[in-house]
Amino acid sequence: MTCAEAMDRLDDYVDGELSEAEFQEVELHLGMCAACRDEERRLRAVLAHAAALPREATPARDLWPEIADAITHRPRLVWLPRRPALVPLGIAAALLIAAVSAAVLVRRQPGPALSTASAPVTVQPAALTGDPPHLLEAEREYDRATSELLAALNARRDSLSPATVAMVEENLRTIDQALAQIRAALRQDPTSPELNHLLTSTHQKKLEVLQQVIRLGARL
Amino acid sequence: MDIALCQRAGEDIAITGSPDPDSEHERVLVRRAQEGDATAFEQLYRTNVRRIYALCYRLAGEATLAEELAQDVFVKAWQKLASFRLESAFSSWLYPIAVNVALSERRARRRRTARITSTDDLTPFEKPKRAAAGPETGFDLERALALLPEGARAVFVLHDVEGYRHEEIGRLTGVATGTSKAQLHRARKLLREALGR
Amino acid sequence: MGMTRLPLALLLALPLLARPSAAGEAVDVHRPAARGGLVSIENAAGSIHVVGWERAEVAVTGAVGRGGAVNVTGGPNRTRIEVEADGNPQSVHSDLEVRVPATSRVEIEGFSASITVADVSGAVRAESVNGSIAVNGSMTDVRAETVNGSVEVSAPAAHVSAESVNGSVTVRGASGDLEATSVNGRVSVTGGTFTRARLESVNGSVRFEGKLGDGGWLEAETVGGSVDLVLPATVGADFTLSTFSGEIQNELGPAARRVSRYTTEKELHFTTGNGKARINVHTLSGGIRVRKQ
Repeated sequence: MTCAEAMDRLDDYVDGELSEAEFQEVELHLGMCAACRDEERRLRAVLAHAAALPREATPARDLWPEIADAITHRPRLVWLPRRPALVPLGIAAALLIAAVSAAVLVRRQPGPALSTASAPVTVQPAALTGDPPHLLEAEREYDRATSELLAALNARRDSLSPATVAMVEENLRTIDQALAQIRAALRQDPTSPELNHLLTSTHQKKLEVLQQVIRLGARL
Repeated sequence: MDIALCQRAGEDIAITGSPDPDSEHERVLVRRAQEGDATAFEQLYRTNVRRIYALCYRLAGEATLAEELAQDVFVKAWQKLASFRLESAFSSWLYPIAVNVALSERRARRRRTARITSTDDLTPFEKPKRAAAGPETGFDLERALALLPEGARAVFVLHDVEGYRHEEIGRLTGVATGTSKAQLHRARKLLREALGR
Repeated sequence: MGMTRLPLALLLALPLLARPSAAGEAVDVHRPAARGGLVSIENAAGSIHVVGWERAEVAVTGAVGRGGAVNVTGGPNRTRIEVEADGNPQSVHSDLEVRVPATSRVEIEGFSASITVADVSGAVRAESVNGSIAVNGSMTDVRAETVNGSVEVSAPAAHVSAESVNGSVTVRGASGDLEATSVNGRVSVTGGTFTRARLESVNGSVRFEGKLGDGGWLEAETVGGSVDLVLPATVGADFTLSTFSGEIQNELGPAARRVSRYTTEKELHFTTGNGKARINVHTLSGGIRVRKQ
């Protein structure tokens, strides 16, 4: 093994990711080569320092006030009912409803994203679908949250007119179409932060719309 | 809560037999925050900000940006709180959000030239208790890290400081394992050179 | 103050100041109300028109649908106006005009109801599901939210949250802190100097014309629509513009570049002036245009 070959494998050697055979070869080379041994020593020193770095740090100023500002001005759609006596809301209740109520609000599943949530998902290797695994995971989470909200909304469907229901479905479909377009784009450039951000925002928007409709609908 | 509904593929669920008081308290805070209680969320913020800020600082390479990122992380966490299902510790849920926020910002700021940390710039980190070889090397590594190219720095921080594996880094950042390894190789090489002897 | 309730039977027995319309029984209720107090109004179906005036009085006029009644209650600083229904509130269609002291804070909840608020300077909260909302006047704080209907805010407000799902959102004259979002509708904001502005649609286009303060940020995002920014030529900001398949036209600086030859993605990062504000624009298929005022 040459120095170049050994140095190429140095990271994997130190991380324990070489095969037994290659590991032995590198070790043999290091035993005989002072220059490479030196590199190994320096690498291990860097890693030791890195592992010893403090994991916490204090910001120079209190960051909370601006966070508080952002979260209280941007009204987060909350689960609190306006009239507690009428409609039991709250996460636990919503989940209970989701578990008990089999009927689904929308007559047709509004788009591919939701149907994947209720059907068992077969995760294709990323190479086949082109979707990076973390993306599928994140979307599954969103789909789960969305399904729960839909079920909660369904439990209150009597308070919404059929026309309203149809309109909400229509808009959910719009969002799902947008999601499908973003996903298609992501297949071409999976690491694009802008596309990932658009995807997350759009999922978030769906949740917000559902929460908004539930909250506004719960007032009656 | 039906455990079956909560199971996530490939992730362990910590089911504690006897409730641990800290995590119970945290669960209460999370539920209150999910219902819109900003004061409860502030408690969660106070407990977690130092950890999150450290990560943001290392990924961002400088303090002002790190502060903004840390704030963005908590604002995003607040917005996504409905989807946190209390299966894990709050910090475990928060952490990938922080990585995501920090890394999404990175490309937007890529055009900014390397930030030069002045020699007077004291890092916000405390001096490590046990001195690694050489008294100043702890600080030198932080500074050297700040000067790394962003992709390399991100992978180094996630792999060698935070201890993520390449597969996990791939999940968090969307890069392929090969790319992740290449970036790590580059980072380690540059850091060895920067630290000299 | 005691309750002022007008059950139908009594209404029919009293000489009426207004002729009952075909829609239902006429309403005419007057009540003293302190200036700067809160007036909250709830009407599930129909319309709610709030207008500020100089008197220290709340006046409710209009017509309540069959099966409904207007209930006006409250203390010296709070007036509560509710349309109550015998059965399903949504089946009672009422059109209310409510005059309030001009400095009142106003909170309105409708369901299948359109809402307008004018000439009020206190904070305004208006919510509906099926109904558009139009708020104009000198209010400084506005939150207007509906699901199916347009939202229009014309006020020199420093805090605005204007949201629709299926409808356009238009904000004029605002400044400071702003959130204007829709799903299936255009979002258009023209105003003064903003510290935080978030404009979002899914299907609709987004337009912003205004200024940003130092350290201010503007986020404009749409999936299918286009984004049009009209900014002062002297704007000092750090821009990040990205689109997957649209075009970027930039009058304030460099041209966009393709991210790689393998995708249609374009992005543009540049800084103008002191670079103190932040402007982020993201679209999927729509174009992005940055123009000078």
